[in-house]
Amino acid sequence: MRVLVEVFATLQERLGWTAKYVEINAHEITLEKLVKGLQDLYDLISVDAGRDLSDLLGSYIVFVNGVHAQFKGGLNALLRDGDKVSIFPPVAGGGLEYLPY
Amino acid sequence: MGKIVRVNLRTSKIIYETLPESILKKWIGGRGLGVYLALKEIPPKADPFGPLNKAYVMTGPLTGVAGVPASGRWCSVTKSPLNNAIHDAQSGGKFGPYMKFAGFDGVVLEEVSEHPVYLWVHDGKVEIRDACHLWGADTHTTTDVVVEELSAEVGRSEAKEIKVACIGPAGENLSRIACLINDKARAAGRGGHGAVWGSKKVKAIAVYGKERPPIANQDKFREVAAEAMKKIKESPITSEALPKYGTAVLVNIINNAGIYPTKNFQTGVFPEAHLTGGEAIVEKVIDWEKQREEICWGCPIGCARYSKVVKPPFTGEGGGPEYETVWSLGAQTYVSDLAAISKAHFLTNELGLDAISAGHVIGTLMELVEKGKVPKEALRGLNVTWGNGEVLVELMWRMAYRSGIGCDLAEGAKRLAEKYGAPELAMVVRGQELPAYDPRGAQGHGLAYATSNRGGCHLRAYMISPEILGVPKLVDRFETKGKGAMLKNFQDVFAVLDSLIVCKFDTFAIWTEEFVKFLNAVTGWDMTTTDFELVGERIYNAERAFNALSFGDGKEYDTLPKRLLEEPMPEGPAKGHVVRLEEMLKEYYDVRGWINGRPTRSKLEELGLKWVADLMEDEGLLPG
Repeated sequence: MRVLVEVFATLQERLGWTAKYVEINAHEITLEKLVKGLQDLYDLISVDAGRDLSDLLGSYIVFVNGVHAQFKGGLNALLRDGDKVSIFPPVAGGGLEYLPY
Repeated sequence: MGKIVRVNLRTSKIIYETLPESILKKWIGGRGLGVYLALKEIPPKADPFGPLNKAYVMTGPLTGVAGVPASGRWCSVTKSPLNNAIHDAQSGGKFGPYMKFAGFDGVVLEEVSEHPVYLWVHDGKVEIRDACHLWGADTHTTTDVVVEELSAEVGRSEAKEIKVACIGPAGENLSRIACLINDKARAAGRGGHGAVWGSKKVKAIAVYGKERPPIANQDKFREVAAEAMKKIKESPITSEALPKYGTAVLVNIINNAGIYPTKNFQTGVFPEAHLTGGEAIVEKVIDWEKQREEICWGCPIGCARYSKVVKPPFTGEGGGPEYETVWSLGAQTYVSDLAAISKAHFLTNELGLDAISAGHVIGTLMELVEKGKVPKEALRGLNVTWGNGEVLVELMWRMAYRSGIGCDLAEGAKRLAEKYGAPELAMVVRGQELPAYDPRGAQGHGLAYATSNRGGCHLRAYMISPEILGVPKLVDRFETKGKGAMLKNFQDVFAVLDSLIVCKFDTFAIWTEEFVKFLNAVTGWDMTTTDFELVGERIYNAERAFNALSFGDGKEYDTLPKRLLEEPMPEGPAKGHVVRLEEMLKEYYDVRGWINGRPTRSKLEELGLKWVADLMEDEGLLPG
């Protein structure tokens, strides 16, 4: 199976790429495993998030086929052939919990 | 505080006035105070271009106070010629603080001048100057000539301290989508305020002065200023994204979410969006050196852009482009050439056109042509097709000068679509063109559009923040439940921010608690966050009441174009969705205390607006 991963804004600068297809020898894969398999991205994100992927969705905007990963199972979101993952650094999102709601 | 000057343009009489503190505490300044004065003074049914309409040029108590983040703002309030609503248009840059430094919280333009004039507002006084020689000039020339003339009086070394807001040819030609431009590239954009100045023959207002706004409690001020600055620096949005990529950093996010309106809202996915986003602007057209000068007064964020296109045929330079303009001039018209988009954007500033509405209405025309609604002869040989950057640029000129089809464009999307027999193609709310988010994939944002008192607008309440950006907390964008209450809170708070006046980008990092502290420290008042939100609610209700008195505003106007309510999004992540407006409206009216889109007597009296309830009752407009 093949999944497209796109990154934006400062991630493009830091990683030196904008998009790549990831070939996986399975029928499906979790978002967490996918990110862990992309070493440069994982290093960057885990450093930013205190070496723990659990903060990923709180700090970054992560879409799976244009829908927030939170509504697809979070880090357990299952990705299948042809899916697209888009990751936006905390340039336009993040958990500012001290605000209302 | 509360010092305003009334300029009667017919008689040339100038009256200086200080408003009582009791009024200021109820309405704050900026938008709130402007709405209050308009409701008191403008007959709601007045012709927006007639002598009874007034134009209020306002600052707020936090405008120009060093240490309040992003407080370099001012606003214009008037009855809009686009949609007859009470209307405020907000702007950044440097003009606002300098008007304050000149000694004024507000300048009121009354009646109509016989010939073109400009106002010289300086050192606590106002003079009316002849502007016949400026009539016809674009905004850049106007600014340069006015500064040149006035710096001869205050000293050449002070030239940079004179700030100018003015209109371009679009305002003179009474385009209903003409804006006010200050500092050459900042716009009080929406709603045709430029045409109101044009109708009054006011070409420009120049401000200059050395007075600094006093701070009542310095210790408290320093404390909250430090706290606010820390939060802004810690916020990844305000500290990193906006300074680096500008507002157009949103392009790829919104397009990925499938709500980037394309071809006049026919779809929410623009395949070439990445060619026009913040990343592309940084790569292709930005001029970093000049960008520094574009940043608004006192702003620690600095989202402003300055761009340059070197290669013909779109050679030019100037402030921008921003998220909204790369959308209106880009996806809305299907143009993906950033050079053409930038050129069209420069022209909107120079000619004095609202960049959102100008691009939007060209997209409307393109769909009308696509659907065979516009006779060929009306286009005078122009090849009006999706994606044609040269036509986009050419139409800016024709629109500003009302030449040929440009005359129809200058009237805005609603009147254009009506004229050519397809009113359903006007993507407007209350006659104002919608901005850069398709609400079929952001239900709360749809409710925000529908209930916006000034018409289609993303800045009465930015529901994209919780629904897409996850700020302060991500909510399900396809859900309707709970959106009414959330929206009301956003609308009320934003109404106060527009009155203080501070930039809404502050809200990515700070919220009401900090704003109240700032307000109290500067004014010496003792306001609570509850009082603060009550002011916002008062403003929102007063606006709705004005609109009801003006054109019968109510539930029938709290709606969206049929396309967004009935045509499912054809593709992308929001595929199959429409805006489920009715599901949200009831909850919204309940939390507002409104019936059928109008405030009740008890709600108005609770807000201290008995006199407004009486006005509505006299006209038979009170519900219930």
